[in-house]
Order: sequence, then C-alpha cells, then structure tokens
Amino acid sequence: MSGRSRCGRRLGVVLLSLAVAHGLRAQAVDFGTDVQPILQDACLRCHRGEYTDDQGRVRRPKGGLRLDGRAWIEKGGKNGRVIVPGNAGQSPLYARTVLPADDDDRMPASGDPLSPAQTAVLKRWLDSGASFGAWVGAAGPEPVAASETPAEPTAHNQRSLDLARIAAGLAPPPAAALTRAADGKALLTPLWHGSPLLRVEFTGHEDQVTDADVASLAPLFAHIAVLVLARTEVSDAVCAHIARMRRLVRLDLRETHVTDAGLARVGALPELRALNLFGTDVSDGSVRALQALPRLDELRVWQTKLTSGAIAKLQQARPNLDLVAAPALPAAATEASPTRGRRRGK
Amino acid sequence: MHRYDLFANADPLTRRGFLAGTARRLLGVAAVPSLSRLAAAASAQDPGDGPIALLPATARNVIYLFMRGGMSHLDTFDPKPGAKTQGPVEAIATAADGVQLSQHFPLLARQMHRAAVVCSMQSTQGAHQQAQYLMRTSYSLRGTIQHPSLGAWVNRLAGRINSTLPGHVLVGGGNDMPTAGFFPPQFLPLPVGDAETGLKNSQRAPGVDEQTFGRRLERLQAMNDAFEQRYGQRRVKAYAEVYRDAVRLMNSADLVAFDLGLETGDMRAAYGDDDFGQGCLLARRLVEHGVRYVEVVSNGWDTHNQNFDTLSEKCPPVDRALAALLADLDARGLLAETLVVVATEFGRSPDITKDNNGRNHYPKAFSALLAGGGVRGGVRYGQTDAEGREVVDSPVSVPDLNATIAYALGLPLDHKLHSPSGRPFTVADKGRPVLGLFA
Repeated sequence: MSGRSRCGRRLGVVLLSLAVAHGLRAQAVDFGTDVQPILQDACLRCHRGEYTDDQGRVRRPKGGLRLDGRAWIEKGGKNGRVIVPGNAGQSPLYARTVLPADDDDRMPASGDPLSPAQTAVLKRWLDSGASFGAWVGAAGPEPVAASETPAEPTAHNQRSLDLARIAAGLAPPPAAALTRAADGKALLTPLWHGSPLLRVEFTGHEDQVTDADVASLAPLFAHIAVLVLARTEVSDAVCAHIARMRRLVRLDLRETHVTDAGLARVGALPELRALNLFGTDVSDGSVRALQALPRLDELRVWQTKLTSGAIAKLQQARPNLDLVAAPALPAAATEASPTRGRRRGK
Repeated sequence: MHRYDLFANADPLTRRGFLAGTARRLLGVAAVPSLSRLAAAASAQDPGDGPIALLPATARNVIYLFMRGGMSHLDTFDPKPGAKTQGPVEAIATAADGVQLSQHFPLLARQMHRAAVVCSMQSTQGAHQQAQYLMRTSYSLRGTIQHPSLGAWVNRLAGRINSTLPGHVLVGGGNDMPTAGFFPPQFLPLPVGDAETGLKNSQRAPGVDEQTFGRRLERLQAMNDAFEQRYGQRRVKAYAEVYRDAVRLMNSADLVAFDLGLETGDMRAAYGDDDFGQGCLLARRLVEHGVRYVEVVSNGWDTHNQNFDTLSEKCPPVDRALAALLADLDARGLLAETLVVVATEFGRSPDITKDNNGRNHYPKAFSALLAGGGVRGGVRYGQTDAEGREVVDSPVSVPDLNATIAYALGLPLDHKLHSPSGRPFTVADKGRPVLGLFA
C-alpha cells in the first residue's frame, strides 16, 4: 500500500516536472511580443532617439542609452553595455530594475516600477541568450572612426613619440619567452598598452636576484626599455648583458655591486636617457663610460666614489645633463621648530 | 554529499592551489593587470573593454600628502600680495620665475623648480566629510554606495610592484580615511598611525618560534579550507587573501622599509622632528621598496579661528618635510618616477572673519601642488583673481586632479569597473587630465 502510494507520488513528480519543462518551453520569450512592449511602456520615454515632446522640449536619450532599436540596445549607453546575453544578473537592463526602491540607480528612474511579472520576462529573455528574433527597430548608430583625436600636443607627447620611434618596427615580445620570464623572479610590464617595449624589475626579492636572472631574459633583451636592478645582488658581469639591450632608455643600478669595471662594459647604449648609480662604488674611472652614452640626460651619482672634480668635468662636458651628486637637504632646524606629537628619545 | 565534494574540488582555493598561488605571488608575477597586459602586449589585441591609455606612464609611484581640514590658499601656495584679503602673510620669490609662495615656505621655495602649483582648483563640496570624500574618490558621497579611493583604484588597475609589501599605505590617517569602497578588502590601505612606531603587530608574538607559527598557520588554513570551499564567495576569498598578505608581509625582507631607525639622525632631522616630517621620510622609504601609493595626512588645517597664528605653526613642518622629500627623492633618482601631490579638500575664504581672525570653508578656489612623476617643474597652472576669490583661468575640478594623477600612472581613465549592483565607475569619474602639467 505504502509502496504503491510512493510509486504514485514519484510518477506525479515526474509528470509535474514534464509539465513544467513543457510549460517553460512554451513560454520561450520572444523579444517583439514579450519584451519590446515592456520597454515601450517603461523605458522609451527617456531612452529613445532625440525627439520633441508635447511641451516642445527637445529630449535626448538619457545616459546616451537608446532602447528603441536592436543595434542601440546592443551598443549600450555612456556607462557601457546594458545586456549580457545569457546573464541577466550582469545585465543592467534587468539588474537595475530589481534594485531596492531607495537605490539611486533603480530603473525606471521615474514612474511605476516594473511588476514582478515584467522583470521576470526581462530575466528570462536575457538568461536565455537575449535573442531579438526578427525585430530590428530604429536604425543603428553610424560606425565611428576607431581613433579619437589625440590629446593636445605637449612635451609629454613628444616623449611618447620618442618611445614610439624606439619601438617602431619591433615585433611583440615572443610569448614563450614572456611566459618563461614570468615564471622567474622578474616583474614584466609593457610600457603602455600593446607596446612591444618592456619594463623589467625585481622589487620584492632583490636579495635572490643575480646575474643569471638577467641572463635568462636574453630572448627579451631587444624589448627591454626600462631595467630596475636596484638593491639586487648583480655584479659587474651583468653589464655585458645590459650592453645587448639596445633599446634601453632607463637603467636603475642603485645600491648594487656594480663598479667602474661593469660600467666600462655597458658601452654606448644608443637610447639610454637615465642612469641611476646612487649608492654604488662607481668612481672617477667611469667618467669615460658615462661620456660615451650619447643620449644620457639624467644621471644620479649620490653616495658614489665620484669626486667633485670628476662630477664638475662631466657637467662641463654635458651642460644639459641633469646631474645630481647630493641632495640640497634643509639644514637641521636651529631654533625650536613648532612640533607636535611625541619626540624621539635622547 | 558527493555532489558537493565534486563541486568543491572545482574551487581553485585548494591547499595545493593556495601554495602554488603563494609561490607565484612571491615570485612577483601574480599582479593580474601586469600579466593580462603582458598577454595583450604579446598578442597586440585590444581587451575590448573600451580604449585604454595609449601613452606610456610618466610615474610609477604616488606620494599623496593630504592637508586635512582645508588649507588656506592665500596663506600658502597662492598669495596675493597687497590685496585686502591677504592679511599679514607676505609673499616670497622662489627658484621658479613667476611662482610665488607665502612666507611660510622658504625651504620649499628653493625647490620650486621641481614643482608645479595648481592655483585653480575648484570643488563642489563645502563640508569636510563630503569634500574629503570627493577628493579621495572623485565621486559625491551617497548613502547607497561606497566608492573606492584613488589609492585603491591605482592598485586595482596597475597592480603591486612589490609582491610582499602592501600596495597602499596610509600614514597618520583617522578612521574616516580612504577605503576600498566596493572593491575587495585587500585594496584597503594599510594604516600606519605613527611613522615613528612603524608597523604594529608585524612580529611574531614572544615565545612563538617560526615552526610553531607555521604549524598554527597550517591549522588555520586547514580549518579555513573547508569553509572557503563551501562558501567560495568573493568576500570570503578576499578576507583569506588579506590574511595571506599579512603573513607575507611578516616574512618579508622588505619589512625594514617601515623602520625609520635605519635612517641617519641627519636625515631624520632634515625631514623635521615631527609626525608629518617623519611620515614623509617613511613614504620615501616605502616608495624605495616598491609601495605604489602612500598617503601621509597632516591634520589641523581647519582654521576658523586664529587663522594666521595657527598657520605660522602648521606651515613650517610641511615646508621642511616637503623640501627634504623632493630633494632626497631626486638625489636617489626616484623623483623622476614618483609623483608627489600636496592636496586639501578646499580652500579658505578670502574674507577674514572680524571677530576671531579666521577664515571659513571655501570650495570655489584653492590650490594643489604636484612634483615629480613627469610633471613639469617651476610652473604655475591656472589663476585666481586679484583677491583669490574666483578662478579666472583654467579651472581644475577635483576629478580633473585625480585624472591627472591616474594619467601620470598610465592608467586607463575610461576603464569601467562595476559595483555589485552593476553600475560602472571609472578611476576619476569624468575628470580630464591636465596635460599642460606634463613635461
């Protein structure tokens, strides 16, 4: 008895689920008959092509969003896309209709909120792939030219042009080499989006970085434009690798073991603009190597062994070189300066 | 039950996954934006999420110095000698032709060839909380959403440089300070209350050796694993990430970045023996070690009463710290890629209150200062009228200033990230960068 009734219940469940599945299929959402009328009633007053209303005011689509044509709906508004086919939750067209009533972002911004039945239709339409069927609606936007006008010409853009010249003709860095490098200790970033030129740095685990780590980047040498070796354990030998980085623009060797012997190996890097030798043992023996860098315009030599005589000579030979040998720090306060908070102990 | 376990196995945060992830991070390659940008570089494809900045970044790090309370523009960076609104404070010449500062900044004056003053700042907010919120986030304060601060944006879009140190540190801020907004909690700034004491609770407790600590962590991880697998939501993962960050930080060789005791007495004295000066010195140390965004707060600029007496005490420590910071960063070769910003939430009224010799809130015109990170030095940008009342040339809105910072960092200004309710936001709202500031 009980066995039969359980059986019957199971049968009932199967039948019910079949009925539900069938019902759902029967309710597949058609944009033209199910969705468009909702948009028409609730959205198009604000989100349609420019028009003149009853009071003679010109109304433009709010938020740059038009919902009166397929191409417009697919394009979205000023804030981006409004439909993500297959995902109602990620689609503002649905998600913003079901926000709490006090949320600034809830749509429609004025007038009655959508009924649960209406939001359910939007959700089902989006979740099921957001097909428009045969519906087209208002003609879509003209295709816009891909590139915006560039920013007003400034020296900054001149610098960019300079880098663009250095990058010209250079293929993107080989993907395999990038992947291998990413498994090592280096952090690699392209100088800008899509740039073949790379910035390479080892910040965070400098004490484990040796010449070998730089050597292992050999397939990428042609792409390295900025190299930060600050505080790493590299030696003079690393300079032989650096000499092969013909597009190097910035080199940071601060607080490394690099000496005159290393700098002598760097040679005349054709594009090098900035060189940081702060806190190295580089001395007057490097003056020739420094003078051999044709484009050098920024040099830092604080806490090196370069003498003031050699520094003056360098500056004289290159009057435009931005050369700093020591900071002009403010002298310690003489009179009791007004201070707040705890003081250091004796 | 089996079904759930199968599902759990699909979660990437298994212990092995955790170890692999940690290893990747320690090796410095887990900064997602870098990798994705690398992939984009390799394939030279557009990410399809709107155009991305096509210009190379000029800055790598930011030191953001915030004068909290509303710094008087007339008495600091935009003096109007001879005007009846000027009061007793005089103007002095600087190392840059055509740029004057108030008499309170004699040390900074010698460094002005490195800095640009923006005299045409304008805010839409005249109350502290709202104005500070706008400065930090570029958006208006609202009840329904919390916007991420600029520091959080910077780290979200550009990633960390040093994988073992936090990407965003706040020195001397209060509880109302910048937040991660709707970003996951790992984008919260690490607060350092007092530069002098450095980072609190970053050592193992006494009596806990490395092995014991490791065992405890493993146990914690084992307990959390089950929880994380069952509730693999974003927030749960984010909190686990915060713990991992903390442990990484404890073990980091770069923890010394927080230790001002490693600086010479002369260097510490040059920055000034006060909270703000030592905070700036800490900021320099953090930038040296690859922290991307450091904010140092100076309190007490809300000079409704006794404006002139207060400022003659407030300004000298800032003058000294700023002068030392610019010179020190420059000699270390760090200024070229570090953008130093001095900002405040609004200016103060040109009219001096008669009864208490003060100045009131004034969002219509105020000043900011930028140096390094590709910004042209020795420049005054924008202008106020003869009495410092109205911006008469090249107004710069608060979002414009933030857009300028983001632009220097090479961040995509139009890249949208979505709040949980699906609303799109950008790093500086609709701000436009002030291109004229860049060298």
